[in-house]
Amino acid sequence: MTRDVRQAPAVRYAPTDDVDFVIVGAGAAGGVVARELARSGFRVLVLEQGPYLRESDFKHDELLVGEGHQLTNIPSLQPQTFRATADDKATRRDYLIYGRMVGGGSVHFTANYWRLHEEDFIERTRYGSVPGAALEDWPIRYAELEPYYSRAEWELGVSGIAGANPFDPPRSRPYPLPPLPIKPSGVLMEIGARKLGWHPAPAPLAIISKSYRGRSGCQHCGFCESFGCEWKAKSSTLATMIPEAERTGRCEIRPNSYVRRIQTDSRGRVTGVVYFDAQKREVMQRAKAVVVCANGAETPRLLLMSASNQFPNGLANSSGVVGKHLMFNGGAFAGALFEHEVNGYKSVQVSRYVQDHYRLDPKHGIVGGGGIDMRFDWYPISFAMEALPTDAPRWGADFKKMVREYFTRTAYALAHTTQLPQEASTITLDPELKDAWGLPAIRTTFTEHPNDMKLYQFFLERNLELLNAAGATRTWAFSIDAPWQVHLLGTCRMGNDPKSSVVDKFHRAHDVPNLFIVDGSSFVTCGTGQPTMTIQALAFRAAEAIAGFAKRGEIRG
Amino acid sequence: MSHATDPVRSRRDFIALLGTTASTAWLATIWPPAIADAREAGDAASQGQAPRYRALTKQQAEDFGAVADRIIPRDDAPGARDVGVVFFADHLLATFSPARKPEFDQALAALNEAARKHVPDAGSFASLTPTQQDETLRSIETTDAFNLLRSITISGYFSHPSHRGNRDQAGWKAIGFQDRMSWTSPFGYYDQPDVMARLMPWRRA
Repeated sequence: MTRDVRQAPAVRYAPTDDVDFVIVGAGAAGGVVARELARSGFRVLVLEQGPYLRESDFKHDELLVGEGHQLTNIPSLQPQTFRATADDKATRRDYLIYGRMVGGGSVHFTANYWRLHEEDFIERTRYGSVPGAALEDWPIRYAELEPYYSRAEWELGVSGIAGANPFDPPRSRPYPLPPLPIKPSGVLMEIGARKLGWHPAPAPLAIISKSYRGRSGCQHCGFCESFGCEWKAKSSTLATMIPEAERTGRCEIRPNSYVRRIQTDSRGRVTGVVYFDAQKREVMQRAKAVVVCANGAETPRLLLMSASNQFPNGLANSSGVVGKHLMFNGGAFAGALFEHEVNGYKSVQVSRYVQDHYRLDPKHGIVGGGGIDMRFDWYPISFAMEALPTDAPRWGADFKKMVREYFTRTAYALAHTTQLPQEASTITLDPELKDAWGLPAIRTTFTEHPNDMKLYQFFLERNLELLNAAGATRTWAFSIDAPWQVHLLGTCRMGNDPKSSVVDKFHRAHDVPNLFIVDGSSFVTCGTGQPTMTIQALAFRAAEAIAGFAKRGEIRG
Repeated sequence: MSHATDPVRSRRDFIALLGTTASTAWLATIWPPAIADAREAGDAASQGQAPRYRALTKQQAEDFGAVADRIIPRDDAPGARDVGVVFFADHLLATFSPARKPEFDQALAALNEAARKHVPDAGSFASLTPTQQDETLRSIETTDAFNLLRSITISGYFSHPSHRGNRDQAGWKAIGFQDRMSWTSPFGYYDQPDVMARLMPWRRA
């Protein structure tokens, strides 16, 4: 790891400094909240369990980000367990993948940047009670979040064309940057989608197509998904919010700081956090308020680890819903071979998408919907390992021949869909397994709702239809039984009723007035597709509200 | 691939030669595809040592090399061992994934057990003919053991060359991948202006 000394943090807080805010997690949400609160004049300390990497640490090296876990959670240090239902015994399985570094998942994400639509916030109203699903409306509506979607686009740097997708919800501003150039897969998508009467549009991406706010535009090297951007063209919080927060002189980013507990006093107010530093020494950091932005798995885990006599079920968990309603978004995936060179490995993964099936016609009897993009998100190793048709030879001369013929001529259709919230899908503390710091491992309990499987099947069929319409010489489906393990959502849902939700509509914990939770865990439903933009819009909105509470003396309650 | 150019035997020959006076540059002229292994051997020889593995035994190196060459055999592009996949495996198990060494040991043990089941007097998988090796692999191709060996072979063939596989980017060249920091449009066939004009008439409208 290298540190650029010119970017050394401008401020250092002592553990005894009663900082205004400790933020747990420097990811997609934490980076935004840190920058916004620091710019509002507050003293902010961000504790990040992962390292502080720089662009010079990023390499086009599949082994480093895969086997080496350079940018993500490290299973050998933080093992996990999994079980399908609460009746099963959980077994060792590293089920969840999440960013573990300054910048979090915004560093390695594909940068698909979709707004949710109006109806995503009111699915309970739309569908009523769905058996087996804990469907609820959000306590906010799209219109309340719209200004913050626009802010996220302009503050972070997002490329796209307003109005190109006829299903896009209303917006107050155009995109700040034009879309990235169409790729061969985008051309094929336009051909196929238009043939089917769909409405393909340039995919909005949190990757800058031209110079923007001191960063240079995308150079099309192709290493976006799973990788960090050496060019700073991907608008991660590492490239945008974090340096701006540090430049205020009021924000310290403290990496390699793994929070194990949120401390409370006899009045039930947060007084600070206990974390392990890089040498695994325990440090108590005082704070006037804490904002947890640790992601949909680590956030509920931290609350559950912070149980006390006063909060026996875990901090902020009088409702009992901390850790429940885990969602990932669903999906379906299919591949296709084309006659000519597609060269999907060049440039960003996605250049076109469709949202014609964002809300399925009731005649299908399926709740929710999804969007589809055409992409190529393989690299040489992963391609040879997994990208070929499932009935293709897996080794030997025929295998090698196929990998060589297919690598430059394939494109894939990926659907991103609804997944219903269920009370039984949870993040809990494993009662036995511990991590390298002696803390309880994350235990995931998850089984899809039957509706989800119907939805995946529907979209698998649309994917194949699309690829065939695009002129594929061969298409193949991937199994819909392998669930996604990213997009960690819903585990501290927001709501107006303290009995059934963890935070209120401004992300303040119902039970603890100076504790805020802002990340994917706040989602009430998972929405129809890509969640990162909504996580960041919520973060801008929450930070504004929190700054207002602090300025008006309404934090400590 | 003919048995006559079996890289296991050839590498043994190299090592013998390297112990005397040969340079890897000279060896490369007589058998270019083996340059990767030869370089490793040459580095060791220049230090007066037999090529040393940090994680693998010599027998494991032979058996793994043999199976890797059946998973990615040589065609008009190099085979697995030609690009240094054995050294990659050694590097992987010594650095990134030492915890997987027991799993790797078990996989090779399972491989040799299958080899002996197929050819009762076989000393090891490496000692079988390529045909016998393929038949052995078919008998275990759905097992975790095989999947691990396959995964390491593929990783070594296509990994960043800094990990000692994919020598001279031969694996990348074989599939048409180029590692660059920058590309410009058009990226392929379909996004060329004249092709787009033909395939996407609505863009002109």
